[in-house]
Amino acid sequence: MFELLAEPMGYEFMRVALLTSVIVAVTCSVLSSFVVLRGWSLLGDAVSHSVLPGIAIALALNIPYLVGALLAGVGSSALIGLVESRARIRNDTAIGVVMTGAFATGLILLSWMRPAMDVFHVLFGNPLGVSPSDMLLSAAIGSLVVFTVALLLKEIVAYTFDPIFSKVIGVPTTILHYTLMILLSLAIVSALNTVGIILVITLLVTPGATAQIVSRNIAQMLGMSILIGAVSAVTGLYLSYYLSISSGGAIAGVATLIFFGVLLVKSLSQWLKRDKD
Amino acid sequence: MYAVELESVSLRYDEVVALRDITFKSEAGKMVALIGPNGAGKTSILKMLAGLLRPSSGEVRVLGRDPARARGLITYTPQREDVYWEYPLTVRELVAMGNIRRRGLFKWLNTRDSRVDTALRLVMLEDLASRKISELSGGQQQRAFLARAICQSGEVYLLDEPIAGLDAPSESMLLEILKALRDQGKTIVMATHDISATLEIFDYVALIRNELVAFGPPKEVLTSENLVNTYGGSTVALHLDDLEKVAGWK
Ligand SMILES: Nc1ncnc2c1ncn2[C@@H]1O[C@H](COP(=O)(O)OP(=O)(O)O)[C@@H](O)[C@H]1O
Ligand SMILES: [Mg+2]
Repeated sequence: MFELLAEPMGYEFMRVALLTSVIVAVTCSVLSSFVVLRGWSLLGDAVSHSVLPGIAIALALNIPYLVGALLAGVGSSALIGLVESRARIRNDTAIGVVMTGAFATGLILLSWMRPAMDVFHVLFGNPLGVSPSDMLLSAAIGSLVVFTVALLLKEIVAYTFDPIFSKVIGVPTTILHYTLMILLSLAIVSALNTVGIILVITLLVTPGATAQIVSRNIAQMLGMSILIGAVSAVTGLYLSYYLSISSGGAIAGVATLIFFGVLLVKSLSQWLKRDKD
Repeated sequence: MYAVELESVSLRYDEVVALRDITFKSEAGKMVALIGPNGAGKTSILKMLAGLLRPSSGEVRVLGRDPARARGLITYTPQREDVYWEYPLTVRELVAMGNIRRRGLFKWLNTRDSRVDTALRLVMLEDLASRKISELSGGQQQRAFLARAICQSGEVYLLDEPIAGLDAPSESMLLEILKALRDQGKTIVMATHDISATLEIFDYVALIRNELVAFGPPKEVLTSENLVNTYGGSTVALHLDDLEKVAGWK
């Protein structure tokens, strides 16, 4: 057993991949509690898809792709709000329009420019190709996300629970909203190499969703969510090593399995309890 | 100085004129009911008083100032349906949100504040303080909301349909707490559908149907003519036997 676990760690690329995946999973899991509680699953998906044209434009303009991705992520969430209120359509419709439009733009730009960057890797991740500098970037982003959430935890909780009350009582809700959008975009950027644009939403939704099933308070939910994210990253990466399957797919797959496992256990225990009464 | 004051207030949302030329005011230490059918503009009035919406024309003042400048003095309780009750919070944490502005960064909600205990006692939820908010009944959820407002120690309480969907005992319990707050000099402005509840308890009633149909003490304002003008003839004329007819018609 020990050997099974130790063998992959003999390679530097595997050590870097494992560490980066865990950092990314934890970063996304911290935010996933709020994504789930505020009902932002679809919005998170839209932001992650919008990162693609941001990267393409950044490559074209020769600026750091991180900057392009960040601007596109925050810009798309603002555009969704604008479309929703201007066109007077439902939020999910506005998201559908903006998300697919942005994604299409990104694909067109990237296929046209044929950059050195592999589109497939951006879409589906490639943790085994992560460089130590990518790892440092993920660590920096992760620290920033955790620090900001710790700094503003009660304000974030108040805002995501009851935005109207928070605004009246004087919490700077607009600033808070865009701060969260920036953190979301940063988390997505940090996940590009490991799980990719398409599957990052799994890490932004599923750990929080799983944690919500079993948590009584927000601290528990954050803790559970982080634990589930980290376990998914480690297990997924080992599975991908031994089964030669897509790492991003394996990480997301494990997170999903944990969700259904927890749901099953919870349902069974409720059913048993009801039987007793 | 008046606690709440609307002067020739109109509000439009793009093409829709939600409110037209509304004028009323109340001194501090009074209970004001906003009564009207769905879409009458009750929520819009409360949101203007809370400083969340600006009137298209006219003036809104709370305690003599622009509502945006009276932030710490106003408490706002949204409709219960506007909140996600599955949020993993305890009753105590929800109530402690009321004192969030007195607490620095990096710190969690101050659940040990004596204000939280006082508020919980006032709404009779001490025994349920560590319950998850999703495990409360509708009436208890509404009282927890009210406790959060009390913990905020504001002067003007704005409540959007707090008694909608409550059973009679829960309703009268909530109204008793509001009365106690009024007796301490707080001003209560509450949107509601329930006319009978307001008759004895409220100082002022504003009948609203996008315009102000009438404003004043309930006994003067709640005439059948005014009610017909507010709700439309058919609704009020629908008596019990009519209801039975409708039910038997199926
Ligand atoms: N955000 C909005 N955009 C457009 N119209 C709105 C909006 N909010 C309310 N309205 C309209 O304004 C009117 C008053 O609404 P509201 O204040 O919610 O009434 P009430 O609370 O009495 O049911 C309604 O006709 C409603 O359709
Ligand atoms: Mg309303």
